[in-house]
Amino acid sequence: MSAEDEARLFEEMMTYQEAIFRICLGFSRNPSDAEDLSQDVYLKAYRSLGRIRSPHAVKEWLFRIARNTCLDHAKKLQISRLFEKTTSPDNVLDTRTPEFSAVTSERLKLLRRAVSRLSKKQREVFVLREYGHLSYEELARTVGAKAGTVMSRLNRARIAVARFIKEAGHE
Amino acid sequence: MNKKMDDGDFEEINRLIQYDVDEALRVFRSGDFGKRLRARIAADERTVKAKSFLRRIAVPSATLLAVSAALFLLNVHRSPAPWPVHPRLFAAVLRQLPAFSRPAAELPSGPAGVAGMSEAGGGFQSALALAERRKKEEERETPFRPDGPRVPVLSLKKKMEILYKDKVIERVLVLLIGKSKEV
Repeated sequence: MSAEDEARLFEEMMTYQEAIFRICLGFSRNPSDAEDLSQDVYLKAYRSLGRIRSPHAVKEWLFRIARNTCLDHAKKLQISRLFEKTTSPDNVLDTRTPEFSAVTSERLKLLRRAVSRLSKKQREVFVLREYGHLSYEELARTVGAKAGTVMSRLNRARIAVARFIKEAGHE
Repeated sequence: MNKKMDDGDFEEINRLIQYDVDEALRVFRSGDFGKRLRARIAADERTVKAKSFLRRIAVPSATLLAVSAALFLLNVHRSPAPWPVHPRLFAAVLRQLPAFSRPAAELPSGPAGVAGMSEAGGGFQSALALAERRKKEEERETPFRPDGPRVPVLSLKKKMEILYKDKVIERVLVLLIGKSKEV
């Protein structure tokens, strides 16, 4: 692949920056971490531009990098939490807007906690679909599973999240 | 489990996610992500270049270090001599020798002098002078001594002289014998 092709491909990748950011936000549950993770994703993509086999599937390739990067980050975070008492992203005080209501803030915390409680397989399909807005086919190719499997996983994940929020809200 | 969940629950999840994403995206869009990313890529490229330079010099440096370490270890763990003389033992022997009293030039040359020197405690220097003298005596041309096998080594010239003298004596004797027969 020539340098011009690589530059063109990278420009194409940059059009997905918001989708990548949304996915990173879903996994990290923190806007600041999400931006750092997005940069990591693009850096990895930039380094391996020469190794890309099918330039037509660049979107799925980029989403796969995003998914792997976020899962790696979550794993590292889990390990570091074992050794040091760090603040959980769920407990970070959200001060993005002054008019941010206390009720919504509480509900958002519940949502983040519910997502973090999902199994790894359920969490990845839930985040990629609900935050990244991937189609079922894209989701199946990114995760490396059949479309039917992905749909059932997603359904179970949605139910688990809704149930957790409902139960926690009634307490 | 599914029966307990109604559409309202799922709608609330979608609403919350939408709210979460919208708020985060608003902050994300306010910053220049592309500019920050380009700066990070440039910094990463610089790091990669520095690392490649380090990698290039690392192999020869490591080899040199390994060879130096190997040589050092070989030198340190070399097997000792079969009969090592410990420096302390050597120093103790030297200390037990009689003190150095007179320089060699002042020493008397005769056997009486040597004896006197020993008595005066001439020590190591006197023993050295005696050894020197004995060596010179041995080197000197000495007549054949029947009591010992030691024969001084003669030069070629000396050997020829002796041989010539022998021949002269032999001729003289032959002439004398011939004359006596005639008489």
